[in-house]
Amino acid sequence: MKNILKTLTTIVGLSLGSSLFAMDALEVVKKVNEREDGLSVVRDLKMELIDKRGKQRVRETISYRKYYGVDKKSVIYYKTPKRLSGTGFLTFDNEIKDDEQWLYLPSLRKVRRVSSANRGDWFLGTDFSYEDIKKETKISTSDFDFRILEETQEKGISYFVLESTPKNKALVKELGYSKIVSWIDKDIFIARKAIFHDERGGLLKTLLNNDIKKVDDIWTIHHLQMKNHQNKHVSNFYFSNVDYKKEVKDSSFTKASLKRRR
Amino acid sequence: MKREFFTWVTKNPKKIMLVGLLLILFFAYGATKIIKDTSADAFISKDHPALINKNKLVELFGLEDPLVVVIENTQGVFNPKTLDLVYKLSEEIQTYKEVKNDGVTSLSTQKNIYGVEDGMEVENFILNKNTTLSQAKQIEGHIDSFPLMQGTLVSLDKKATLIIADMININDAEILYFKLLELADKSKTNDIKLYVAGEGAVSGYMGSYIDKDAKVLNLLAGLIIMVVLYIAFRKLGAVLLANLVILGSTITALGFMGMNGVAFFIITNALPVVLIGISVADTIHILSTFFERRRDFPEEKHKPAIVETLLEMWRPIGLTTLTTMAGFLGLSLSSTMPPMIYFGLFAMVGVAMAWLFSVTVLPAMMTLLKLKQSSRFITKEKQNQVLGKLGHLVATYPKAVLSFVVLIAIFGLSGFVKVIVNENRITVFNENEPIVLADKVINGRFKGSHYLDILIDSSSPEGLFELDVMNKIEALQSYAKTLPYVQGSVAYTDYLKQMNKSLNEADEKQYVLPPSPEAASQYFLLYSARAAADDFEDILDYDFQKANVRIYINTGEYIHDKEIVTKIQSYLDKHISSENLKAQISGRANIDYHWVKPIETSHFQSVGISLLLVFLMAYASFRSLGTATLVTVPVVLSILMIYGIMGYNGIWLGIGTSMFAAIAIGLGVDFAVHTAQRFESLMEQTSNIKEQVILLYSSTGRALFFNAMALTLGFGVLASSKVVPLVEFGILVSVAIVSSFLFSLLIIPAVMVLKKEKKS
Repeated sequence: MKNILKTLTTIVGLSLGSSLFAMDALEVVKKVNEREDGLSVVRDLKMELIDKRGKQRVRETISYRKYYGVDKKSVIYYKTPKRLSGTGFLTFDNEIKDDEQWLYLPSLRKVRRVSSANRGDWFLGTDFSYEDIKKETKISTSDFDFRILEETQEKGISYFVLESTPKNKALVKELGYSKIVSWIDKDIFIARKAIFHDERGGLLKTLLNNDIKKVDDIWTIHHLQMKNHQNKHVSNFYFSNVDYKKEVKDSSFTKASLKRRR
Repeated sequence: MKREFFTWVTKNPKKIMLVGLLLILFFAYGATKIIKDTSADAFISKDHPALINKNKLVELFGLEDPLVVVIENTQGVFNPKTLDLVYKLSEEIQTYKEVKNDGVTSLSTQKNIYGVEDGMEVENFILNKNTTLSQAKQIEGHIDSFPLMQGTLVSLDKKATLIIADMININDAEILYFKLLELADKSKTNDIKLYVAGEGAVSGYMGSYIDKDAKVLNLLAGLIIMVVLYIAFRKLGAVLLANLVILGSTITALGFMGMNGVAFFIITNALPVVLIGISVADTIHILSTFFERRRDFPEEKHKPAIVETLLEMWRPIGLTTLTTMAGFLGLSLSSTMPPMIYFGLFAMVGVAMAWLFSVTVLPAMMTLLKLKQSSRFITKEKQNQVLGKLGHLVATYPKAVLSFVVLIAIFGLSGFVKVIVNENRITVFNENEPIVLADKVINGRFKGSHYLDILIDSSSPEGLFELDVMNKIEALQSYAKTLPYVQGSVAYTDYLKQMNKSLNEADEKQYVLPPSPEAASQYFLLYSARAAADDFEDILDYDFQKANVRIYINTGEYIHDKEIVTKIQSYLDKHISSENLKAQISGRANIDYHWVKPIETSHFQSVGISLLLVFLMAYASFRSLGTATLVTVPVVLSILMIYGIMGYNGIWLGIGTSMFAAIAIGLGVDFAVHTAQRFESLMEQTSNIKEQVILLYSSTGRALFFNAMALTLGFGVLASSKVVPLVEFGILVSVAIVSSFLFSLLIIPAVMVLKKEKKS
C-alpha cells in the first residue's frame, strides 16, 4: 500500500512538474533557436585538440559563414600548422538535400569532395559531431522531445535544465546520443553547459560554452570546450576577431574560391 | 653431544611434536598469503629493457596483447551470412566490460579508405547489420584494393576474418578468453567455424591451464609416492611419518614465499612434487636403517634403536641435504628469471626443513608411535637373494660394467650436440586444444599471430612526415619482409600509400608514399574529416612524432624470434639510429626472445655451478678427491644421458626442461652419496670387497631402490600431464633419477673393486 501511494505521488508530481515551471520546455527551445546569430560572420578559430596523454594538435584557421534562408554555407581556411596552410574546407549545410563538403589540398593542388557525413560522425577529428557543429547552439525540434528537469541558479546565473531525448531509436543511432542535458542561461538563452550520453546511455562528453560576450550586439561564445569522457580527448575552440558586419561575398563559397585562397 | 641430542628427542617426543605442528601451522598461515602470477612477463625481471619497451608500447599506443576471434568459412567470408555474423559478434563483444571502448577491430569497425570520383571515402567495411549479396561483393573488392587488410583482417585466401578485442586490463585475459570461447561456441554453424586465439588468449589461458593440470598431478604424484612407501615398509605408520616430513617441508617453503611476498609462478607448480620426493627420500633412508637395526639387533630397546639409527643417518642425510641444496643454489645463482631464482631459493628452504623434520619430528613420532618392526625386514636372507646377486655380478665384472657406462657417456655426448635451446609458448598446450588449432589457422591463413613491434621516434612533432623518415620506414618494412617467417608489417606509411592511391583516381601505380610532407599532413586531415580523434592511436602518437611498426611473424618459436630480432636490431643500428630518428624493438616476439635467451648460458652455468658445489660438498665430507669425483661422476653421466635423450628425440631445452638438470643433480647425487657413505661404514665391517658390494646392494641398495622408485613414479606421473613441458620435465627427471640410481650402484662399486684389485 505504501508503495502504491509512493508511486501515485510520483506520477502526479511528474505530470504536474512541467506545468509548475514558468516556461515550458518547447518555449525554452524556441527561444534558444530564435536567438540572433548574424546573417554572416567572419572569425578566427583556433582549434586546440588534446589527446589523453596530453599531446596537442593546434590548428589556426579563419572561417566564413553565411545563411541562405534555412541553408548555410561555411568555409574554413587553415593558417597553421605550416603544412596545412592553405587547406580549405567548404561546407554547404542544406535543409532539404544532403550536405556537401569539399577539401582543398594545396599539396596536390586538387579539390577533393568529402563524402556526405552522417550527422553523428566526428567533425575533423574533434570531439564535436557534424550535427553539433551544424546546429551551433541551436536545438532541432524535429529530432528531440524535451522536458525541463529543473530551474536552478549557480554563481548568480539562473538556468533551465533541459533534457533532450531523441524521438526514436533510429535517431539515437543516427545522432549517436541517447540524451542531452543542457543548462540554458535564462537571460541570454545560450546553453552554458551540456552533457551528452552515448547510445547505450553512458556518459559520453561534456560541453562548456565559456567567455560569452556581446559582439555587434550579438551574444557570442568565444570558447567552446568539448571533453570526451570515454577516450579522454578534449577539443577547445577559441574564437576571436568575430565580425558580423564584414561583407561575406557569395563567391567565397565556391570550389574555385577554395583554390584561389591559396 | 649428538647422542645426547637424539636421546633428548626420544625423551621429549611430545614437545618436539608440538613445536613441529606449531611450525607447520605458522607457515601454513604464511602460505595463505601467496599471490599468483602466471603471466609470461613474470619470467623477465621488471627492469629488463625488453619489458620496459613493451610497457612503453602499451602506454604510447595502447598495444596490449589482444584476443582474437577467428571466423572461418570454407566457402569464403564475403557473403551476407558471414558478414552479418561479424557485425553481430563485433557489437556483442564491444558490450563486454573487459573490452576497451572502441576496442573491437573487425570488418564492421575498421575504416576502409578508397577513392571515389573526385574524392576519397572513409567508412567502415560493413555498414550495417544486414549486408546484401552485392554489398558483400563490394566489400570483397574493397579488401582486394586495400593491401594492408590482406592477411591481417581477412585471410589471404579470403576464407577467414578476424575480430580483434583489445582489453582494458591484461589481467582480464582469462575471463575474456572464456567469454569469447562461449560466444564462439554459441555462434558456430555447419559452414562457419569460430576459434579464439591471440597472444592475449595464450597468456590468459596458460595460467589456468597449467594450474588445473598441475594440481591434479601433484596430488597424484604424492599418492603414488605414498603407495611406494607402503610397499617398501608395509606399514601405515611409515606413510604417516613421511607425510609429516613432507608437510613440514612443503608448507614451510610455500609459507616462506607467502611471507616474503614472492608470487606463485607457473613453474612453482613443480615445487611441491620436488619437495615431496626429497622429503620422502630422507624418511626412506632413516626407516630402512631403523628396521634393519631392529632385525639385526632384536634385543636393543626401542628408544636406543631410534637414537642409534639417527646417529648413523644424520650425516648422510645431512650431506644429501647439502648437495641437493647445492643443486638448487646453482639454479638460483645462474638464472635471471625471477620464477627460477625463487624456485631454487625456496626449494632450498624446503630441503633444509625436510632434513630438520627428519632428524627431530621423525624420531619423535617414531618414539610416540612405538613403531614396530616392518614385515619386509624380518628375514635378512630373502632380501639378499636378488639384490645380492646383482651386487655379485657388479663385483665380478667391474670392467664390463664400466665399459657399459662409457657407451652411455658416448650416447649422451652424441645427443648433447644435437640439443637446441628453443621455446614456443603455444606448445605448452596439448595439440588438440582449441587454442592451438586457432593459432594454426592464424599462422596458416593470416600473416601470423606473433608480433614484433618497432617504436620509431622522429624527435619532433610531424617529424614522421619527413620524406626521408617515411622512406626509411618503408625500407625497414621491405627488409623485414625478407626475413624468414615474417609475413608482412603494418605502419602509418601503409595508410598514407592507400590514401595517396585513393586520391589519385584509385590508380594502383599510385600506391606509393605521398609526394611531400605537406601532402602527408593534409591526407591525415582529409581522413579525419570523417574519423574519430583516436583512430590511429595504435600506430601513431598524437603529434605525429612517434610511430609503431608492427611486424607479423607466423611462428612463435624462439629460434626464429632470435634470428628476426637480432637481424632487425642490426638493421636498425645501421640505418635508423641518428639523432633525429631512433628506433627501439619491442613487442611480444622481443619479450619472448629475451626471456628464453638467458637459458642459452644460464642452463649450462647452473649445471656447472651445481656440479662444482656438489663436488665441493662431497670433498668436504669425504675428505678425498677420489671419492668426491666418484660421487660426482654418476650424476654427470645421468645428465649426459638426458641430453642424449633430448637430442635424439628433438626435445627442446626450454623454460621447463632447462630446470631438469639442477633438480636432477640435486636429487641424483643423493644416490651416490648414500652409496659412498655406506661403503665407508662397510669397510669397518669387512675387508672383503666383494662382500662389501653384496652387503651394499642388499641394504643401502634396497633403500635407494625404493627411493628411486618413489621419485621416478612420482615424477613419472607428470608424463600424463596435458601440459607438454611438464610431460617433458617429468620424463627427463624420472630418467635422470633412474640413471643416477643405476650409475651410482654400478660405477662406485665397480671402481672400488678395480681399485682394490689394482692394489692387491
